Amino acid sequence: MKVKREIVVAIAGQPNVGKSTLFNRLTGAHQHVGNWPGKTVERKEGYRDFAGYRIRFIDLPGTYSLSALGVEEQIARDFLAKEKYDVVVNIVDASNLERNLYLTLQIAELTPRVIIALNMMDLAEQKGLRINVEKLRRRLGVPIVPMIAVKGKGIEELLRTIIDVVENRIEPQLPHITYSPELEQAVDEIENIIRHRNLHRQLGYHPHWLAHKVLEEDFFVLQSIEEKDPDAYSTLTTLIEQIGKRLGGPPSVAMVQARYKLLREICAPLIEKRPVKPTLWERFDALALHPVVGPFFTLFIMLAFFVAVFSINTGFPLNYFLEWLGYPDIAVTLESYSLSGLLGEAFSSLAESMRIALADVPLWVQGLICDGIIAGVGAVVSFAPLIFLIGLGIGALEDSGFLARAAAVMHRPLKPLKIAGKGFIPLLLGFGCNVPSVMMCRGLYRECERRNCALIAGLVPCQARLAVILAIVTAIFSTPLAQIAVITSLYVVALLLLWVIGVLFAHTLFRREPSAQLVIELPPYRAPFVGNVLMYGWNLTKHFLKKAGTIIFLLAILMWFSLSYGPAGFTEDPSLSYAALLGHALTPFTRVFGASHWVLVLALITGFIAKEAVIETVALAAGTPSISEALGKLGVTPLQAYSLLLVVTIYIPCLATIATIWSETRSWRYVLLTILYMTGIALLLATLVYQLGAWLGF
Amino acid sequence: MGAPVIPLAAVPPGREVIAVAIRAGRGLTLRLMEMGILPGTRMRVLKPPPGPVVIEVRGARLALGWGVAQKILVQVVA
Repeated sequence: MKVKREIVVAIAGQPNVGKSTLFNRLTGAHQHVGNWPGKTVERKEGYRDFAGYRIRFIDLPGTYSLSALGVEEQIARDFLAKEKYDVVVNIVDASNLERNLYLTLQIAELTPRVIIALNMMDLAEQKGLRINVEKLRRRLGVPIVPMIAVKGKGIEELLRTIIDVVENRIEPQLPHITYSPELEQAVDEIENIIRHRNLHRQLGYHPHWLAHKVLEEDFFVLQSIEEKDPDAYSTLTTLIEQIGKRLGGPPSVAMVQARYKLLREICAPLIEKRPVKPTLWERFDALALHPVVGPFFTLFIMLAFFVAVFSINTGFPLNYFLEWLGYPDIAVTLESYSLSGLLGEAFSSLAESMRIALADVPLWVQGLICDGIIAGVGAVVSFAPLIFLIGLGIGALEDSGFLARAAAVMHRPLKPLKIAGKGFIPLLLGFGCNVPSVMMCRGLYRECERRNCALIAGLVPCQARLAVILAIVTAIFSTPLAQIAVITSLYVVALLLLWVIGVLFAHTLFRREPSAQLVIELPPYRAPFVGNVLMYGWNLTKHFLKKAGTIIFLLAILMWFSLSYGPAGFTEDPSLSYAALLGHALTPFTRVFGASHWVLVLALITGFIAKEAVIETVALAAGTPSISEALGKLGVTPLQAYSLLLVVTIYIPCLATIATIWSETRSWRYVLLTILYMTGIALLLATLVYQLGAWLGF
Repeated sequence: MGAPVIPLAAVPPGREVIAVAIRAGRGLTLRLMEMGILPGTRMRVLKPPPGPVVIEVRGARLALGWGVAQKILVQVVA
């Protein structure tokens, strides 16, 4: 079928109304996920060929309104006010009509070409609501398509309606809101100033709409006016103050009230309500939100999810548990049959067979292919299953309504970090791996929360660091009590630091942001929609492989080069490499925190590739597979070991985490800041501990 | 309308209240109002503190922090 022409349709709607479901139903697999330019907000785009048209759908962020309270609102309304599109599909929750139509009225201020997708008709029925759709359609003057997106009901009709509007068979005409005469007069006064000063041209908005926003004291609009024309700004703010005095309150309040008043008039006569009993699941909320039981319950569900995903992926933490119970054989089997165990096996045997096949080529080519390229690709690919599994799990928890409850009960502890309760999810994931942890920061509500969380997420000691800690601790400290004390202290230090640094960033980098106030909608519990969960996991993995993967690969090649080349050219002995040379050169300085042997410094350098490489390097360079023998050979004292462990726990996150911080924040400044503050604090802390310990005679 | 004006955080569960005023900063006030909590709005308290306050308003369930619920002044009507 030949495509007649391409049309652009924006999908707008409030959170929890089934917007992702609709988007996935409309576009299927034809979608692309990226970020809105310069923001940490996801931008989803997809297309569907229908009736000779290629319909391009842009999924706008879910927002309750178009007042610029946050980045999402700003993105949504800037798109609607400035970009070119043919139709807006406004998805509306039928069981929550009044509040949902609030957004509709705001969209109507920007464009008349609106179609309402009246979703969750089944849920409205369950809640005892019967909506007279025909009357609502006449009253609002726009096409309304009743639907149940989860079941795919109404999708075809929606597509047909889009074409009807595009081909002008239907002309949507939303009702105009009339505010009180005082407010209307105020809008006129402001609009005059705007036209006179040519502000609407400078800012690229419609003058009438801009006047409304100025009257609402919209933060972003006023800020950009102040930048462009300070004189007009002061004239306008004085005027708003006068209007406020006339009205006896802020105009923004009066405008919200006017919109809701109109909505009440529209909706009340069209909705029939009969009483229904609360469902079992709703009673369940008493447990999930209980002040004492709630956090434990949330933690329990999250831990179950955590153990399941990570055990499938690497065997951790189930393998440690099995070992502890006295089944080391099963633990080893579990590890080797875990996804990353199998992948690692596949990549190392691929490298081996390449080595045999490439027996005749120069050694450096062989090294580049087997140890550089294949290992680099392996490093990228080995993360993919983990990210996909976590995507599935988090997607399911989100879709089911569980995450909203978790966010509500976990709100308190993270409040000083200006991070809402939802932030505890990425941080918890960090104990397994920092990469999905940083990725999951995208689920937080505000830009500042996402950024702060991504900055501190690297401080959570991941599984790879635990492996290094365990290897060194068991090699150096003999009594179980000392071992437990050392491990616990490292975790306590790391988590304490996380909290302190988070608070610090909240009050410096993000000092202008208000602290996170808990106002969150608790959507009804429901079975997760499989399509959404799969698309979420798939998009997350694709995003990771494309964006972070490239950087991980390049860094891995760079590390290979620095470990395989030295002043004498290519070498198979890392102790002759540039990295070793750097280790030697740094040793006089690293002595202050106890790393007095160059091998330890080299180990810290290779630890950047992946934390577990620290152990490999020490063993390799000392020429013995036993880590305790190797540390003995290097003359490492318990104090030096402890200080080294502090560094390993806190210093620079691994290159995969660094790459992910970049791909999520799109800011080299944040990447640099993370590297600098973590390495700086690690070295400082280790030096303090080492010097103090040495002074005390340890 | 003789019922005393009290903060939402002090309302026992199961009661219906009418919002009288929101005593918060501009940003939070606007956010609450746009989510449907305005002076004159009827809502039902499902769960009081400690822990988040849960209310039902305009058919939706909202969880509010104690600090937020303290800033919404209401009258108990039923």
